[in-house]
Amino acid sequence: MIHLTSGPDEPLEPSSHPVYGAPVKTPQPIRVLAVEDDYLVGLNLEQQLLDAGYEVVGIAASADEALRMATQGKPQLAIMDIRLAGTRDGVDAAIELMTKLGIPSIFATAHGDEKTRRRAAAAKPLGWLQKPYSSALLVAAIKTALTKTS
Amino acid sequence: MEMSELRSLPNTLDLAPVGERLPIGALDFEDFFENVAVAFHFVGRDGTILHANKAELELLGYSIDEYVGRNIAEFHADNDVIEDMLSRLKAGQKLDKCPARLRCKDGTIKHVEVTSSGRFVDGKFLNTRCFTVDVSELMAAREIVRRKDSELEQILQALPVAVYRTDAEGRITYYNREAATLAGREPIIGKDEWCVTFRLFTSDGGELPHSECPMAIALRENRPVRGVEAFAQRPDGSLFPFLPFPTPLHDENGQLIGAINVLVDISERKQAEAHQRMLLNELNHRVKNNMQMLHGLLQIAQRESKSAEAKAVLQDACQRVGAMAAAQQFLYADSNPRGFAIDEFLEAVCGSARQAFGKEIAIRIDAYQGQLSNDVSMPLALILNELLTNAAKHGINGRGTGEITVSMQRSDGQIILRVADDGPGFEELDTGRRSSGLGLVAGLARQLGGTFAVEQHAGAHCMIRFPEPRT
Repeated sequence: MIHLTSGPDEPLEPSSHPVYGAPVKTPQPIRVLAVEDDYLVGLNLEQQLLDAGYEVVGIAASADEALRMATQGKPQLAIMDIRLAGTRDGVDAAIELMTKLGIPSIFATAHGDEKTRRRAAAAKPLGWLQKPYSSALLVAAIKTALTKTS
Repeated sequence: MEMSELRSLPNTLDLAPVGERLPIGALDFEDFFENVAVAFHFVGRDGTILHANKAELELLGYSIDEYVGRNIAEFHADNDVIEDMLSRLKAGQKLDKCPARLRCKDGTIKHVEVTSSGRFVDGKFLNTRCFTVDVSELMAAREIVRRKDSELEQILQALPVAVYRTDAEGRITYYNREAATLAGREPIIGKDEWCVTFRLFTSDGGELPHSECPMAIALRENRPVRGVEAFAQRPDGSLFPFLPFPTPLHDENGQLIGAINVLVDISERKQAEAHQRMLLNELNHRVKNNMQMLHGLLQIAQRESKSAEAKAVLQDACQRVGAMAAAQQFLYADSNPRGFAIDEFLEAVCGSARQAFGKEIAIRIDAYQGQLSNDVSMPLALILNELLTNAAKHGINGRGTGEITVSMQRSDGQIILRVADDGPGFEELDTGRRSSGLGLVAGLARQLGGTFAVEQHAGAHCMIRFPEPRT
């Protein structure tokens, strides 16, 4: 029997795609955590980030997975979906990333209502991306976010 | 009889032997009359008070001179009442606890009940003999009860929901205005039973006899009934859905004394639900159409493409979108907007694949009867499409003919999807791709919180196992 995956808790590792021209001139590429529970959307996000020259520390499908990957991979920021697998959502995950690890998030979601935004304020988000978004918008949001952090 | 006559009775009580029954003439009636705790007075034929005992004077606060010799009507707060009492007594009637209001010396009014009869000699009315019982406290208590009843009545009438109550036998004893308005009729107190409505129907449209309605059940089984929706028909024929809340009532000994029911009209909620369902159906229909358009566009692009590689990529993409479109049509069905029927779902996705494979490859489906959450539909459709494609391309291995078996079973809270072919089996090559083929299957299985494995038997057996989601 060939097991192609060992279970739901095993995180996906980022693929080793070539880097096409890093947008920020640093010796090391910016490390980004993708938090997205939809497999194909997560794959696409990872590809967009890699194509833009960022390093992807992982694709987390749940809040717990996001915290674990962030602790291990030490990203500079996270692209955070609101609706996640498990009982806690992306707002919970973003608040925890910020308060425990000091990692800010950019929310990428179709749930951009005012109530969610108010709740997400505690995570001090660096930006909001309305799904579906283009690669250009994603990169622009990350650049703006990095300007804020620097 | 004048008071002098009363006083002339012999006072021989203190001379009587202990335990011996005395003749009536031996009793001291004057002492009894004066000191008995019950207020007592005599009134002459012209209404003059002939005499009153201590209890009567103490009751009203007058001295004997202020009371005796005056007309009894002066002490009654209601002239018509005393006139009626005297005329009835003169006519030979007896008064039994006749209510009256007497004016006290301090100006207050006492509520009393007068029990009285006239004394006649040779058919001629001589005087009354009246016992007066103070019922002021009783009246005050009754007034409090009346006020409370009035307050409760006002509260019930002000409620924007229909409220009624019955006795223990189910006869209507009270209903508020809203109940009559909602029912479209005036219930008959003491006659109508169980419910204020005209006719009742169950939520699925069957006639519901009043004797079987939730209120009847609450009384019969002595328990509140909740969560039973029903329809009621008004006499004008109009129908409305409602939610009843019948609750038994008990006395201080726990005995059933009746029940109260609140009827909540849920017409607006039902309309909102129907509207929401209509919008959802409309949205679903549009998504379905858009996916069909997308499928069509990819098919056209595939046909028009000159490049073999582009053709192959477009064919794969077309087949995936086709599987998703096939799955989409079962989502948000009227019967269950959150789940889909497994057998119909598998048939639809396999049907989409059959179109791509042609008639030479048969697909047999073996699924348990059940529902799955809409959340898993798209990942599952894509997984099934990839596994079917894999079985057709690699499992049957270009033979052109063969059979693929798709089964879905449930075991210990896990859903197990198997796709097996009757080919020679295949060597799984790790292409490194995660967005197509078995890489996509593994990724989507993980999204479902499950696992993916390939076994080699007589042909390849691919198995997805994931936790059963709640619908």
